[in-house]
Amino acid sequence: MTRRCRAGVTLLLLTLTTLCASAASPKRVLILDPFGRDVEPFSGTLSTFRTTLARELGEPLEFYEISLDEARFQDPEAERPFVQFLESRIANRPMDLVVTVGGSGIDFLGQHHERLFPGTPIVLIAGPPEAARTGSLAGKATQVTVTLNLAGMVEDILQLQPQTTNIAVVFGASALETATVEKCRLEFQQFTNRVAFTWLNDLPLEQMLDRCAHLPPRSFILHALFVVDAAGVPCEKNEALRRLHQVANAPLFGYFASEFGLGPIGGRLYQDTEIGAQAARAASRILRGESVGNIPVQVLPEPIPVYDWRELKRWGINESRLPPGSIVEYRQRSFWDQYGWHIAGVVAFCGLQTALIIGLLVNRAKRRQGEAAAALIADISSKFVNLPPAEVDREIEDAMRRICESLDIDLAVLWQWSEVTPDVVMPTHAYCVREELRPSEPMRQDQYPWAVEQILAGRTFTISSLEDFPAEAAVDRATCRQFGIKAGVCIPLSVGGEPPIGALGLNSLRAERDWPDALVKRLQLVAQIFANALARRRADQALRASEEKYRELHQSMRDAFVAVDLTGRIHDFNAPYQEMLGYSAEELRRLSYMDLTPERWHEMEAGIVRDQVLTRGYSDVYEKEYRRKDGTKFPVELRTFLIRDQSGQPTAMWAIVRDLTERKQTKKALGRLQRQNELILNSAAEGILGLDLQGNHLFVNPSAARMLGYQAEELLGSHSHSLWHHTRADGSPYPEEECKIYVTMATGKVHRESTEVFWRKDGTSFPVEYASTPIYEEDRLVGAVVTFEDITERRRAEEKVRQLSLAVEQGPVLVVITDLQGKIIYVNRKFSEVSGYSLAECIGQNPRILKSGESPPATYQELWACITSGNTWRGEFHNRKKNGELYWERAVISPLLDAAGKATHFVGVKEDITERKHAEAELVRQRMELARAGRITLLGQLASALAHELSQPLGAILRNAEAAEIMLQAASPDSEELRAIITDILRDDQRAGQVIDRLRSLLKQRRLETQPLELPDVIGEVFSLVQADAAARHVKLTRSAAPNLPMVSGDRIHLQQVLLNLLLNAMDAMEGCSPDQRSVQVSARQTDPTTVEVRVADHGSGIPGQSVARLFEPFFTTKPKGMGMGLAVSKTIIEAHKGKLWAENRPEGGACFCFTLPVAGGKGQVASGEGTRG
Amino acid sequence: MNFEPSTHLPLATGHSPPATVFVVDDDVSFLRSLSRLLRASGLHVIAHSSAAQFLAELRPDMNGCVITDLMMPGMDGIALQAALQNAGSPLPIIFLTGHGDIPTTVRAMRRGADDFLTKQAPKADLIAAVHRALAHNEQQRAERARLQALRQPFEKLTDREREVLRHVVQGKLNKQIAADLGIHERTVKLHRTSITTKLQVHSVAELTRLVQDAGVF
Repeated sequence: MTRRCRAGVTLLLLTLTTLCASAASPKRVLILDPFGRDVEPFSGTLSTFRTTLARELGEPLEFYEISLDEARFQDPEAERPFVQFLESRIANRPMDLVVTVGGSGIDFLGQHHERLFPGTPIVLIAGPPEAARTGSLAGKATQVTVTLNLAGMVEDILQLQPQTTNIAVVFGASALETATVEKCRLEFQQFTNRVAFTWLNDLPLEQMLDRCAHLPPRSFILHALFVVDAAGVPCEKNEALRRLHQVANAPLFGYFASEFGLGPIGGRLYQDTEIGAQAARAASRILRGESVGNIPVQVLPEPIPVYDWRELKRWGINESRLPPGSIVEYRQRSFWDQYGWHIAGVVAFCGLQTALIIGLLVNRAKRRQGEAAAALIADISSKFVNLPPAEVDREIEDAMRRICESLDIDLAVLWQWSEVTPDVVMPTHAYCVREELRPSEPMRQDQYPWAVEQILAGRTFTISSLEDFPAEAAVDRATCRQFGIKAGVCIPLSVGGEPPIGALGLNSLRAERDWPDALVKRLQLVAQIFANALARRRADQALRASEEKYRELHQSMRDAFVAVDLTGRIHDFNAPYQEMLGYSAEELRRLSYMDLTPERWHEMEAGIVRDQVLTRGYSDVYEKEYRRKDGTKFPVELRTFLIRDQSGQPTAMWAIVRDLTERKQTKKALGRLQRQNELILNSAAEGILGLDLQGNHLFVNPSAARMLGYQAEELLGSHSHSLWHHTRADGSPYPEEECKIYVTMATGKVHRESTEVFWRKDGTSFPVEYASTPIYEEDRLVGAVVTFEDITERRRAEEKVRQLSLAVEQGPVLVVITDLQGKIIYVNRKFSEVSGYSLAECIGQNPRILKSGESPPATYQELWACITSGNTWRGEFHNRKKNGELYWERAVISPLLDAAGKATHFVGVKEDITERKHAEAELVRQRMELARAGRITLLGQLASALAHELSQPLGAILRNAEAAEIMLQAASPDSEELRAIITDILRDDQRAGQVIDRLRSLLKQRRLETQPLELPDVIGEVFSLVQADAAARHVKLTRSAAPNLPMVSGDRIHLQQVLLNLLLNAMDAMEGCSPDQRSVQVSARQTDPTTVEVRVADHGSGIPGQSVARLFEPFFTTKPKGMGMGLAVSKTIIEAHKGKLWAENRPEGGACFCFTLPVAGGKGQVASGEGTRG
Repeated sequence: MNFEPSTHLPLATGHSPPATVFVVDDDVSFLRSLSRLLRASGLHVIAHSSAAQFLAELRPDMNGCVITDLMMPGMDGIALQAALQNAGSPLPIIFLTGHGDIPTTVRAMRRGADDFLTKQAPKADLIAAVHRALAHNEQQRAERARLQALRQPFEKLTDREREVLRHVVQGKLNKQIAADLGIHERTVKLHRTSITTKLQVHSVAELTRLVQDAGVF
């Protein structure tokens, strides 16, 4: 039921209540609405309840409505204060009746009625039937309900669409809905082996809609309630249903009768309004005094299944699948659907019928002179004959007024189905004795479901009183009552046996009345007149619209157009067609297209009509000839289309025809051209081809044929693009539509191209440069001449040059080319990159722009002297960049000689060696730093201090020993003194030990600045330090590092110290060897993932056996001049690096000193900053 | 050498004390061991553990040589050498060092160090150096004695006579000398006669040779 209708009812109710207020004290009815207003379908049920009760009771009534608002608060804790509130509200107003709807309302009453409404009778609407029979409400309440057949819904779905595999269950998330869903889950269990259920009730509305828009094929949507979504957002007024219907990609199976027509396909619908009406009747009986106990619980029978024809059509569900006894509603088509393109015919028919009717009426009028009605109707019909469409509305309304006045009818309404909204009827014309009752709003057809059915079936019906409505017309009756209609007649408006376009309703508002058959028959005539007039007007409008389109089409066509019937007779054509053939319009209409076609084409064309037009509805474009009225023939090109009628039967054909005379003449003209130019063409080295507008060869010169590998005869008349232009250079297909040659044909402009290839007959291709030039004949573009050249050789040469110039341009060296005067004519990219001068800035300049003044003038003089005498100069410049920075370049400058050996240009090829120079300078600097560092490092720093400190105890020991030696030579040595000497020696020895300990601890505490080091670099640096020394001592130094040697973690200076020490030791060890044996090898390799080993091997005499163990003790030395500190310090350094230092004798002779270092980043890495600075 | 009578160090007279090796080293242990060795080698040794202590006991007639550590806290070997020279001591100095470095050595030698040895120098080198130094000292002592004998007569001359003598040995005539000194020629002659008498020479040539030998001027 629509909102509008409910609003009307409410209004009526209000009026009633107020009107009767002064009579007996009104009955008080309390409605506990568990959902709140506007929640369908319950608000509809209650609305019907209120309306029906007010009408049935006929006594003053007061409705109190309290919303239990179940959907909005579901907190049981909130119920107690609510009950108190309710109590206070009704304290001084004892209720005569309490009504509620649905399970939650019933539960509420079951709990609280004793407290709130002791002794008040209760009517329960819907809910489980046991509620009123058992429990606390037994004997206090009656109930009107229906059996909820949930499983039946699934059964119906499977009945409609047995292939259904998935059912999406769309419910809201309120307590009621959740409970219903739980019931569904239980009851649907039996179907789970046939169909999968998707439960969408726990999704918010938007997601639910999204899911419903993307359901898998063979789905159904089961929808019954939607009060509040899972996000807690209440949904009202069928909004959710409307949107669901809009987006769903599967049929919707609804449950409530009030929703029928809004989208659900139908089914055994829950009569949500009927249940309200029945409950009202029960309520009425109670209010009249009957005991509630006497009124039995009423369970409505299972309703007859109803289906929406539009939905069935939409989802392609065959009506034969509907359950037996189903009713199909909304079975109607819109006016436009039905009438389609037959408007003109209908108009003609209407005219005829009107004439007949008028004849009849006139006869009748003569026979029954006294009947004013007859006279009136005759008069009316006469007015409608040949009535201009613009006056139809006015005449109908006037006629309706006159009918009402003369027949004492209060309200006449002419309804027509809306052209826009199919299920809405519009009151297009009306007359009412009381203007304010005149309807102006559209009416939904579900307000008069029964009446609509009658109208659609073409049946007129009369109602003398509302009781005349049959039982199934309850809704119609209610609606009539709502509008105060007491009696009426309804006549379908139909034309020529077509489904009705609307209805004429004549109603009595003041009293019930009878409708004699004779009157009805006359009114039917009036309706017929109206219908015809309206149909005519609609047809007229449609015709005008269609004519407009048709005219536009005709006028816009430059090509000839002809339409023929199936026998070939011409019935329509446009001006170009007529002009083309030279016949008059009349003459053409008497001819068939065969008459216009020379014999020789008949068979071919008949074949095309048979095989193409009649079978697939249109033909390919084909060529034939036409014969003019003067007998001349001309070539045409045409395409034919088939016209079918409603039933799909072919009725006519039409064709677009183009005169080809000019095109054919073009060919002839080009033929002439060919002859004229043959000589030129034959002698040209370039390939020359003539193409017509379709791309066919008109002429071919021998060069073209040779290059393409064809005989000229093979090419003539054949299609150029498909023969030698079909594929692009990259091998991809070259569609004809994109052909560049055709650009000329389309634009009339010369087009040149040098990036494409032509294909030879043997399937090979060659790069071409071609120009296509338009050919005009008498200002008309008739084709194109393509001149082309095989550019394979040129390409090759160009490619070579390109590569060379790329090499120069993109090469890593700086290139500058000058003329003989020294003006720059070219610099390459690298030059610009390095110097900062762009090519543009350099052109015309002398290379002296780079001069910094750092290179001596003599260099330039030498350069010029060299190159001007034809030689190549090599040297280095220290130049200045654009930004002022200096840079070093190594240049090779030579003259470019021509074939005669004469210099034409100078070319300079230069290399930026700034970095190398910097690197060299850096190396020198590093060496110096290293040398300096060497002096200040440990050994250097400590040596003198140590020597002094140690010399004291050592010197003391020595002198004491010597003294003792001398004393012992005496005859009687002083033993006292000797003992003192020995004590002193022992103490001094201890002292020396302490000095050494102090030194070692000093070394250990020395902070190591560790960092990742490239060991080969360190070795290289040390080599550069000792190189001079080694050369002087005739020692050959070699070094090697394993490939992929990882970086080590170490202190650069300390490691250099160690290596320096070992190298010097090694060189010392070979002092006595012959010079050719003196060589030291340093090698580095990785021994395990975390360790790198360095070996310093010499070819000396090796380490004496007993010395190996003591080698690393401080002050142990085998060298005549050695201090004995080098190895000890080295060992300390290496151990501080968490490495090892050891010595071994090489089997092949000589010694080898080895040490290990941790790989950088490895576990053995020494943390930087370990210990404190000593 | 300047002809100036020394107030610090009167010329040695009478019998000489024995030759002594004065050892100076801050390292007591080394001092003791070196002293033992030298004594065992038959030398007379006096040990001092600092330069200051030695200088405090220095006598003009001390006879022998000094062995000193080059590097010592307070006054080091070089400073001791300077102090001895200032005091006019003729004792030769042998430097000992833990680790000889060239700049120090050069400095010491330029100032007249007799020898420069490391502390662990071979015993023979050390003993030889000591004997060389002692011999050197002896020679110097003899020379000093001879000079002292030559200079004795000059002690008798008056200041004016010494003045006149300086002019005479420069080859000046009496008249010139009289003009230079602002005295009468006769007075000059008188002084000359007194000089030759006191120095017991008979000619100007003899007088000039004596002046040169004694190194008076």
